[in-house]
Amino acid sequence: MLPAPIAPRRRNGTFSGPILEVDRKSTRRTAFPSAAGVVLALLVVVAGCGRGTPTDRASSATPPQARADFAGVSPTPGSEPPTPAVAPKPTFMDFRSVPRPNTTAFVDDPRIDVARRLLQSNQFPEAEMVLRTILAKHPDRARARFYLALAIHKQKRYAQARSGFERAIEAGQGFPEIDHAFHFYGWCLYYLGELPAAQAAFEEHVRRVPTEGDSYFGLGLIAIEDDRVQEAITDFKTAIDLQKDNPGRKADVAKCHARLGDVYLRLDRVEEAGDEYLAAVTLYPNHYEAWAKRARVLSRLGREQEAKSALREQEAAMRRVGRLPEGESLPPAESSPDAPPEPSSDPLSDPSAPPTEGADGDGGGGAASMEQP
Amino acid sequence: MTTGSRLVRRVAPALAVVAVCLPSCGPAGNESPRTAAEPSANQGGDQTVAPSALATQAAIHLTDVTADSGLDAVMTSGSLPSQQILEVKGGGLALIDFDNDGDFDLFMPNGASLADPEGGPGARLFENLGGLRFRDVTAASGIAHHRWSYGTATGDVDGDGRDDLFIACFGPDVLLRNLGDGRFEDISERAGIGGAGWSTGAAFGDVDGDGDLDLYVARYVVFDPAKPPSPTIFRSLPVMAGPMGLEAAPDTLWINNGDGTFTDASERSGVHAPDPSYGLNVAILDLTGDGSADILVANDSRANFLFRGRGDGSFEEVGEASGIATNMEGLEQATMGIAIADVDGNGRPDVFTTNFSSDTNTLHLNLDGRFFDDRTQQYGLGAVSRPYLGWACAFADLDLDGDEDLLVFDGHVYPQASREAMDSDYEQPPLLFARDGKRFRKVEATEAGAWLAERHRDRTAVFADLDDDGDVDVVVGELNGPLRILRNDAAGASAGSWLRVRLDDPGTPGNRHGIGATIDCIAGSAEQRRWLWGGGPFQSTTAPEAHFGLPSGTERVDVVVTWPNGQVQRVDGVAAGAPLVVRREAAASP
Repeated sequence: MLPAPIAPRRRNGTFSGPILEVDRKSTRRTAFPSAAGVVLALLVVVAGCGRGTPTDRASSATPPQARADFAGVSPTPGSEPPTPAVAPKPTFMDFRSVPRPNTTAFVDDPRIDVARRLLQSNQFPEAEMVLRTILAKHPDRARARFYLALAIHKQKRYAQARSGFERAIEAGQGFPEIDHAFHFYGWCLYYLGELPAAQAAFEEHVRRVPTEGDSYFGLGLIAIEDDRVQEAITDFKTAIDLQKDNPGRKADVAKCHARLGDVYLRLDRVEEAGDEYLAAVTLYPNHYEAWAKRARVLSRLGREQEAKSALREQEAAMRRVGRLPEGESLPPAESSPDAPPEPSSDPLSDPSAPPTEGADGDGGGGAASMEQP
Repeated sequence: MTTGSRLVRRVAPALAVVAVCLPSCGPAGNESPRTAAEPSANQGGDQTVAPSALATQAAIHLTDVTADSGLDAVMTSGSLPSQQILEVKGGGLALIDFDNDGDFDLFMPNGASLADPEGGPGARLFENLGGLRFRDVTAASGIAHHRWSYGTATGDVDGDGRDDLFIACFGPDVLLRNLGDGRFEDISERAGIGGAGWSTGAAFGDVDGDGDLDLYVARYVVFDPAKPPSPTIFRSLPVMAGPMGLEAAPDTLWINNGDGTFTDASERSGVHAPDPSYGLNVAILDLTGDGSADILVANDSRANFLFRGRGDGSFEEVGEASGIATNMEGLEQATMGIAIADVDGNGRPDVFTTNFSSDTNTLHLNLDGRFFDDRTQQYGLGAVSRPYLGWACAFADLDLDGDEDLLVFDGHVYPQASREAMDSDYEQPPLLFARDGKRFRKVEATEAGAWLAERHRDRTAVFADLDDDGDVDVVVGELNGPLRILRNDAAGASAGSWLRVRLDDPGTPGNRHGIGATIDCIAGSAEQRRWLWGGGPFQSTTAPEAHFGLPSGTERVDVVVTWPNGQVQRVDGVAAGAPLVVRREAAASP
C-alpha cells in the first residue's frame, strides 16, 4: 500500500502546503541541533537505512537531464554531501514545462513527515539531517529535495538552497508543493541579488497560485530595487488585498504597508508614507522597523513629540521580539561577529501560513521584526 | 628628473595658480560677478553644454599595472587564514605629497602579527616618480614604524607647509612630522598624541574653526591578543568572535593647539556623550550645511554617529534623529567604507557606506542637511551588493563623462566564507557602478577590464590621478596581499575632458589645502560639486584635490570655491584638461 499523500489544506480556495512555524529569533538560536531533535533525527536515519519506499520506482521516471545532474553527487553512507552552490544560470529555466501538483498520484517517503515536523518546530539542522538521509539513498526524490532546500533556506544559506530548489523544480515531478517551490526559489534569488531571476520565479508562482499575496510582496520589492515605483505600489496593494481579510496574515499585511510607505517616501509623499507606517504598526505592533520609519517621518513633519513616542515604541517592540536595542550587546555566543545581527529576513512569519507565504523576507530588512506576535 | 623640474612640468601647463578674491560673498553659485579669469581664458567662447551631452557614452576601463609600478609591498595583517578579529581589518593607505613636488606619493602603515604586534615588517613610503612608477624611500625617510597599524591620515599639523602623517595603531598611535627634506620624525609624545588601544580610522579636519587641523580617531574594541575571545557561531559555523560581545573602545577627538600639539577634547566636545561604539571609519565635513564641520563616525554593527558641529569644537550627536545612524529599516549595519558625493544633485553631500554580506551597502541622501534618507534601492545599489562584504569605496568620474561613478572593494572577514556556507565568498571581486542617468549600472569585467573579475581580500584603497593624465587611478590594499595599482584608461583624458582643482590658502597655514572646502565646477548648465573632506574610503585618505570629469567637448568651465571659513571665490573660464590651483587671498574676509 502506498503511503497516503499529505493532505493539502485549503484556504481562500488555494492549495496550502505544510505548516511551518518559524521566527527569526529561533532561527538564530537553533544554530546547533537540540538534543531531542538530534535523537529524533538519528532515529530516522537508522530506521531509514536500507529501506526503500514505493517512490523508489519513481526514479526510473527521472528525466535524463535530471539524472545527469545527480551523476556528479557521490553520497557517503548516511548523509548526502552539501548541495553545491551553482553559478547563476545564463537563462531561466522553462517554468511552464514544470508539472503542476499531482496530489492524488504522488507517493512519498514517510520520513518526510518527520522532517516536516522538525521544520514546524524550527529544528532546521535536524530536518536537514533527515532529508539528507533520504536523499543519500534516493537522490531523485524531488519532494525531499524541496524540503531539504527549505531547511537550508531557513538557515539562511540561500545559495545552497537555491540550488536545491532548482533541482527539485527541474526534476519534473509533480510533488504537492511544486507550485510553492517557485516562491522560495524566488526569495533565494532575491537574497542573492539576482533580481531578474527572482522576478521570474515570483511571477511563475503568482501565475500558478494567483491568490497568493506574498509573491506579490516579493515582486513589489524587486520593483523598488528597479525604481519602478508605480508597479511597486500596485504589487504591494495587491498583496494587501489578497491577505487583508485573513486574520493570520496581519504581520504580512503590515510589512506590505511598511513597504508601501517606503515607496511614498521615495516619491516624497511624506504624509502618505507616515499613514502607511501607522497602518503597519497598528496591524502589527511588533514591527519595530515600521516604528522607526514612522518616527523618522514624524520628525520630518516637525512632530517631534510623536516621533519620540514612536522611537520608544520601536524600542519596546524590539524587546518584545527579543531583539535588543542599540547599545545592549548580545552575549558572544549568540552574536553574529563582525556583522549586523543577521541579514534581514523573516522566515515564515505566519504560523498558519503555507510554506509559500509570509516568507522570508523582505530584503532590505523590513520584516526582521516579524516574529510571532 | 629633479624635483624642481617635475614641479614645473606638472604645474606650468595650466598657468593655473589663480588668485581671485571676490569682494562679495554668498552661497556657492550665487550671482557673484565674474571679476577675473585665467589669462588664457577664451572670454568669448560659448561653452554651454546641452544636458543631453551628459548622457553616459564613455566606458570605464582600468588596467592592473602593478608589475611595472615598483610597488612591491604586501599589506601584512596577522596570519592567513585569519584567526582573530585583530587580523581581519587590514591596514590603510595614505596619499601624501611628502616632497611637495605636486604629485601624490603613497604611504602604507602596515600591520604585524598576533605573536609580535610591535614587530611587523614595517611601514612603507613610496615616492611617485610619474607614469605610475614608484620608488621605495622608506629607509631614506627615516620611518621605522613596525607597530601593528590600521588607518592613516595626512595633514599639516604644525602649519609648516608640509603634510605630516598620523598612524592609527594597535597600541599607541603615532604622529610623524614631515621635516621637509624627505625625512620624518616621530613627534607622538611631543604632540600629545598617544594612548593605548586599537585605533582604526582617523581623519583630519578643522572642527573648531580656528584654522588648523584637528584629529578624530575612531577606535574599535578592547582586545588582548593574549586572551582572545572564544569563537562564536555564524551561519552554523564556528568563526572568530567580535565585535558584538566585546567591549567597545571610546574614540578620541584631538584639538590642535595651533602648534602641532594636541589636547584631548573628547569629553568637553561632546563626542563621548554617546556610549562608546565599534568605530571603524571617519569623515569630517559639513554634512548639515550650517557652515561648521561635522563628524560622521562609521560604527560596526551599531548605529553610526553624526556629530553635528557647532563651530566651536563642541558637538551634538544627531545620528539617529537625522536618519544616518541606520539603514531605512532602522537597523544598524557594519559600515566600513565611506564615500561622499552629491548623488541627487541637490548640492548637499550624500553618504554611501559599505556593509556586511547578506546586507546591502547603503546610500543615504542628504535631504536638507537635517534629514538623511536611505535611498539605496532607488539608485540601484541595494540587492546587487548582498553577496559582497564591502570595504573601501569612492565616487569618482572614472569615465570622464560628467558624473561620478562608484567603485567598491570587497572581501569577507571569515576564511570559512563561501557561497555555500555564507552566500558570500572569502575572496571577492570589486563592484563597479557606472552612473547611468538617474541610477547606477553595475559594470562587468568584459567592459572594464580583467581586474574587475579578480577575487581578492581587499580592504583599503586610495583614489587620485597618480599619473597626471587627467583621470583617477586607484591603489588597492589587500589583506595579507600585495598592493595593486589600477591605471585608469579613460578615453576622455587625452581629450581634456577633466579638471583637477587644488586649493592653496596661504593665509591659513594650518589648513593650506582647504580641507572642508566645497568646489563647484560649472560647465554651461551642468554643475558638479565636490567636497574636500577629512577621512577616506576605509582607513585611508582622500586626496586633497577635486577631480571633475567633463562632458565631451567642454573647453572651459567656471569654478566656485567655498572655503572652510565660508568665503566664496569664483574663477571663470578655466581651461579644461589641466590642473588648477586656486589660491585664496589672505585679505579676503569671510
